Amino acid sequence: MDYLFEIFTEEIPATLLNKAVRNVKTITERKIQDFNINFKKIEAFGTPRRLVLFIRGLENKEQDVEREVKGPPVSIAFDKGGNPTKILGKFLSSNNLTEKDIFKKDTAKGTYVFASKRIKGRTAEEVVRDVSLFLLQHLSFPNPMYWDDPGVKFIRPIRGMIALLGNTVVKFSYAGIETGRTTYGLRIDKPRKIEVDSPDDYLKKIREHYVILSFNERKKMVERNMKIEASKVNGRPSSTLSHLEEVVNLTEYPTPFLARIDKEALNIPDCITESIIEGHLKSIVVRDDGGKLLPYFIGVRNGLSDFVEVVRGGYEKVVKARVLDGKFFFEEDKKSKLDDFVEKLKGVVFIKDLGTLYDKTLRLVEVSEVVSSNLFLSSEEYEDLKRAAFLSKADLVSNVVKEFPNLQGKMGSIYTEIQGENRVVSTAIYEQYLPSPAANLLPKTKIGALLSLVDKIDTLVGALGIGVKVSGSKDPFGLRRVGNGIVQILFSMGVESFPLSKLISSSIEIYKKQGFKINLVPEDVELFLKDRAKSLLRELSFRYDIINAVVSLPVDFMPTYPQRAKVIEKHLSEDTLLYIVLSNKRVKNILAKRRGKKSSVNPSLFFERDEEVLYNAVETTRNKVFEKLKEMNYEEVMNLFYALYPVISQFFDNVLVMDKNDEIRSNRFALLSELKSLFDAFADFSEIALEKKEA
Amino acid sequence: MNFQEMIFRLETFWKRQGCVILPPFDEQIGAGTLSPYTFLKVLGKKKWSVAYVQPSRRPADGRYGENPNRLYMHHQFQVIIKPPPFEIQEMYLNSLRALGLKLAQHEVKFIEDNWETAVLGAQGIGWEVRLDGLEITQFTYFQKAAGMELNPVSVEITYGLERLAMFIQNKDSVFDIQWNDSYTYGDLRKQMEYEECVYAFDESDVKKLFELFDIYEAESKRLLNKDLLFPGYQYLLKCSHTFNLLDARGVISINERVNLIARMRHLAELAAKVVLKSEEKNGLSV
Repeated sequence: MDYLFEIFTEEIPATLLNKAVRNVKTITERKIQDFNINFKKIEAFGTPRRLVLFIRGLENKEQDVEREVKGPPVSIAFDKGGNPTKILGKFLSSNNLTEKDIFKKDTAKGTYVFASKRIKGRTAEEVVRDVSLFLLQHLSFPNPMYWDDPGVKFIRPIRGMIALLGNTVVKFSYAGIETGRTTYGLRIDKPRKIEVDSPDDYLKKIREHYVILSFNERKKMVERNMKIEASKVNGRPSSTLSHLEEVVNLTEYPTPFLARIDKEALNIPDCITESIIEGHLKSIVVRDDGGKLLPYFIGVRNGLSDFVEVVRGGYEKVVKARVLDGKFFFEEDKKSKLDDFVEKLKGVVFIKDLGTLYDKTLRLVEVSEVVSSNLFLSSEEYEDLKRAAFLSKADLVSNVVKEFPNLQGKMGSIYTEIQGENRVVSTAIYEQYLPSPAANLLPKTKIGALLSLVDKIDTLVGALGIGVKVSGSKDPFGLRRVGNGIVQILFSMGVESFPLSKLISSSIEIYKKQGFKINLVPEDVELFLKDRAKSLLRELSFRYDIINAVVSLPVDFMPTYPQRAKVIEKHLSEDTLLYIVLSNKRVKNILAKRRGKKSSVNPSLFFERDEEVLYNAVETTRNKVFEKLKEMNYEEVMNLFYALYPVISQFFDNVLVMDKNDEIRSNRFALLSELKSLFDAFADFSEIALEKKEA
Repeated sequence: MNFQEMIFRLETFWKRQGCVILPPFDEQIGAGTLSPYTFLKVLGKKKWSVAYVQPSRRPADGRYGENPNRLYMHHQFQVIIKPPPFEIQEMYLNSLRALGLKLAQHEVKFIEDNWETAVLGAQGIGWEVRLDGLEITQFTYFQKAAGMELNPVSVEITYGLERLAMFIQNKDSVFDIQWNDSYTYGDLRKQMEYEECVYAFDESDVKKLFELFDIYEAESKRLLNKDLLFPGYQYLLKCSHTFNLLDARGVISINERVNLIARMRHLAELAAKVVLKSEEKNGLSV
């Protein structure tokens, strides 16, 4: 038998629909495990006005099961004469059994009465009713609402329910709605009721009424037809996946159509036009082969192609009005100097308790100086970074960005260029917001990457400093994303180190100098970023132990975490890593016994030849290791460590570290400590869990 | 169909759905939600159905009557029904049909749009309704007012009358809308737009406006504390308009903004308390 459950609603938000459909499927799959019933498969679909569940090939009922139930001990169940007691009687009646059903069985606690009880399986109807109600109660959404019943919240009002098991309606009600067999198709004119006989009949009829249940099918319709439409003007549609998802999920039956953009659009920056077409009109821009924006776009009508020319006319008018607005704002903005915008930032709060965006601007400029001196930037680079930092937030008070907030950075970059500033500055102003959630691009220029880091560190330090907490689904300022951005940029820098800790501590100092109450130490921020680094390394599929080994390094080495992890991973099944891990472990174990004053190595206190040998090996290896680390030649570092193994082995075989003489013992500890610090300069090898038996 | 005819049709339509048709509330306000016919009525348990035109003044949106799409004052047609009827969405679509629109020839999309009004501690979940891409209506289920969860909730439907008229009459400029067959929107309103903008952007006395805000606030508080709901609430509305005038001059710093909004929010909560107190006292009868 097949089961169909349709929840018919008012329009579900397009950006949430696919997730809701996935949840319908997983919740049902989970819940049905509670029942002893077989089925072939579970499918879920969604359109703006319905969530639909199919359970295919469902058995008529649950299997009956035999279950052993335990009763009272035999000694209580029967009196001395062997007659049943009241206690046994109670057990029998409460389980619906007779004396014939019981038997005695020995357990660890003595002999007990048992009975074999047959539990009748529930009918498929009972099962799907339970599953459906459970689903209604457990589908959760980011922003659910009340509409009628004060006890029921859902993503949008439920206006009907079909529950059909084969040809039969499964009766139940939720939020005041009774199940039935009625639904509605695509909203064309007057609503027309559809009466459904069976799950398969539903599939047939709903399609006849222009509802395409499957997101993938609607998406294909859009993709195919928008290509055809765009080709009419020698263009190609261009959109991101998430935008396309939203466009598709605003329709039950999508019909893409080609429309024209007013020629005024040619006089405004492309990004404004894109924002109007994509962001406001939920449509798709068209580009030529070279990627240039064409004066056309693809609208996607929720409906058929009848009268599509009327719809097109409406869309074109909306674009025209918005373009005119955009042009007005753009022309207005061009009348002001960016430096005047910066002045206006004094009236815009950054984050409550962290002053204005002007305060932030001053901090960015000051931290840029720290960056510059720590990275030995050329004076030209320093001037560019400082200028970019000073102008970075100016566009936030421009008319265009107030109207189209997603154009922050882009407009700043455009105005900077119009004003005749150099290319490095304008590019950096755009790149400060990378990586963004929409475009997973990283800054391409050095100054852009640095500005982005400085900006993000400032936000992170400030927010954490006023006690903003990030946990579970709570992340009011999107700090995880900010942190991820910092880590992603560092990972992509290709440098052997970056003065991250210095930037963090300077940022804190500058906040304090400005008079803000920042209540944290640099380690708090470092810990937060290490956490983010761990999560990104997990996404790169590294093993947890390797991740822990590299993340134990100071944050300044964060840019090299992935490469180091890669080298460790490569050697996982090789002797190289095995012997390094073993050596490290022996050294670590013995160092744990180190007590008293720590001294540095004194070669004149060596008594054994192997001490001397190890000392010399460590000394000659050290320089090489640091040289190779600088070159980021981690493979070679591993080889250098590996080469130490025989010497270390010999040392432990022939030298007793715990010598009675304090001086000698302490000197040996010092030597091993030197060795340990060498290993630690690459990673914390004690984190690595090797499967091989340790030799 | 001319502008006034649209209003008549909407009034007739919603009258047939059982709504009280009221004249616009006579206070300068920024949106139909602020009208006492909405804010004071969505609170509490009593049923309520109303429809009214609300002239809505948003000084910062003014363009001296020079922009074809932006106005200092526009007109909203506001419908509030508590609790929302089961078939409210279809009812709304019928109101568009009542305006002569043949929906099969157009596209109606409901696009997620939830709003919050900090001043009123109000929050709604719903959509903006797009007709062939043009935003013509906010359709919202009120969830909170004065910071309190509402039970029952109300549905709020807010039509942008100028947008709809431009669509129906196929005009590119708001001032070309036919108000009736003899007058255009521009004939009747352009001069007023211009003068209001000159006042709001150039002539308003910022110092006096700040003083007025304080005076209105004190008066509102005094009256609401005596349970004089309507007069007290009206002074809150005066505060709100004064705030909007100051905002148009760009003289409200960020800290001040937060502060002024919190002061108005406090008045809104006082008003809400009076509403709920009197409902408790008088029971559910109107």
